[in-house]
Amino acid sequence: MSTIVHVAIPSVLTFYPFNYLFTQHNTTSSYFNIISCNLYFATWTCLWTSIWTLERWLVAANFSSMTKFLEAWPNRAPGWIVIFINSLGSLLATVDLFVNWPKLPERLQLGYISVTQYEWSWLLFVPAVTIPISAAFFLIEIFRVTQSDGQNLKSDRENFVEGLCITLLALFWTPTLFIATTPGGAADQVGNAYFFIWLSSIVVTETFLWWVRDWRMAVHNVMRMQKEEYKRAQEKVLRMHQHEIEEHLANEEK
Amino acid sequence: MMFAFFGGDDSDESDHSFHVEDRGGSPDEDGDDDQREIASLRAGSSDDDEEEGRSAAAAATSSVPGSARSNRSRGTTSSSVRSGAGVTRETAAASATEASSSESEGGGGGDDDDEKSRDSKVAPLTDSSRLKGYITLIVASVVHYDAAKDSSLDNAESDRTTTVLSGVVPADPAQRSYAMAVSIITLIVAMFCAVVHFDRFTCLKGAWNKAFGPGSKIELIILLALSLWWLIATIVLTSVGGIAGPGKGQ
Repeated sequence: MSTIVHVAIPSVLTFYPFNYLFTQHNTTSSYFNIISCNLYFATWTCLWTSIWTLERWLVAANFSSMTKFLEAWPNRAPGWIVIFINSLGSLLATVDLFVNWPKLPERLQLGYISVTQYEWSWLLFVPAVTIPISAAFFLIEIFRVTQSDGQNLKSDRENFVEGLCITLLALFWTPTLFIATTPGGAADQVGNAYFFIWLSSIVVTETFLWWVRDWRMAVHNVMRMQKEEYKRAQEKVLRMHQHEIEEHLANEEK
Repeated sequence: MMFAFFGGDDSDESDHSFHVEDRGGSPDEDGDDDQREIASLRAGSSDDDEEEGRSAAAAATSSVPGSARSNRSRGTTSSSVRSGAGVTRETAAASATEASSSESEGGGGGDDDDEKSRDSKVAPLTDSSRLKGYITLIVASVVHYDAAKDSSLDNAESDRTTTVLSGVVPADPAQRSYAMAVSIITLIVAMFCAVVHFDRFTCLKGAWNKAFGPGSKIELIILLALSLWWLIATIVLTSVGGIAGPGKGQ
């Protein structure tokens, strides 16, 4: 995802003028027999750029940027916030599709007739479940008392529940992505639902991997501590019996 | 890590409960630009005193060996000399400020002159970090306008077969007009802002500096209006009923 953000978006923005100069008259809808989606992507680019420029203003005015605000959250709260935003987008886009597809031109309706009621229910259920769970895990950080040493520790039980939830969400979102975005799915066309479902799946997987990495790190730390404790105890025993050992060695030499 | 996007700067390493996490953020170059802009504005540095500032910066950094700032400056000096900008410039601006303040504290009759010269030396708006945003908006809104203009498919009347086979749905006239209006207005606003950033010749140069300098309320209002404007436009145009909705091919 960072690759997308740091490389793909600037590249698109950088090469947009060239793309425009060389391909515009071939890719606009009336000249080309493949859909171009110029209007769709240009709309999102304009929104993105407006918000980006606003954020630059905030940074230049010495206010906290949105980036820093998100970074400031402890534990895995940034991941949960991003999941919340994307799953909200997914839910809104899916509801929009579900309610309005019968109003589409007949040609486009054909793509949605084959979508079963179960699929619609599943596509609405998954983001609807994700939203409260993600909201709970980042809002809980507000109510946690920060310790005197400045640390914001989660209990083992909370970590376990968080791991269980993110694992379940990862298990939910992966099939959702396959069902919705493959041909014949409800979100197989280029549109908001398609991109939000993709983004939601990516951020859920990323946060799941984040949790797994932290969990493994915690296991590693516990094992290291146990090893150090064992080593300390061993040294202590050796020190206590050092005199006896020396005597024993001296006797053996004789 | 994806969250690097949401936090480009790693400097804030907060303690986490049971993980030692490298979020993998890269240094926020835009943040550096902004800091540079603020520093240069405060110091009143301009292109003319860059050369002077570089030597001052070299002296300043060599006097604090091992400090993070000095290391950073040392690492970028050569590139800064080539490009005429960079971290050294920030340091130079700070050094210039210190030098001017020490001069004024040291007595002499030049206090008023110093203030006047400081006022007259304002960081050029072309250094603004928002300029990239305005230029991108110009390009994107031109593309948007062109795509909206052609969305009715009127200009493909002669090749109806191609149009039908393309799978593109012709736009509703009202929505097409709305899309064109959105991009035209954005184009006008963004072009105005961009042109203003390059103005070094007119008598309004001072006014533009106030209106588009860091922390300017006027610019904030423009950017908030643009963000809201495009948020509404995105909802209207990219929803299922919009002309750029799913399956419409626009």
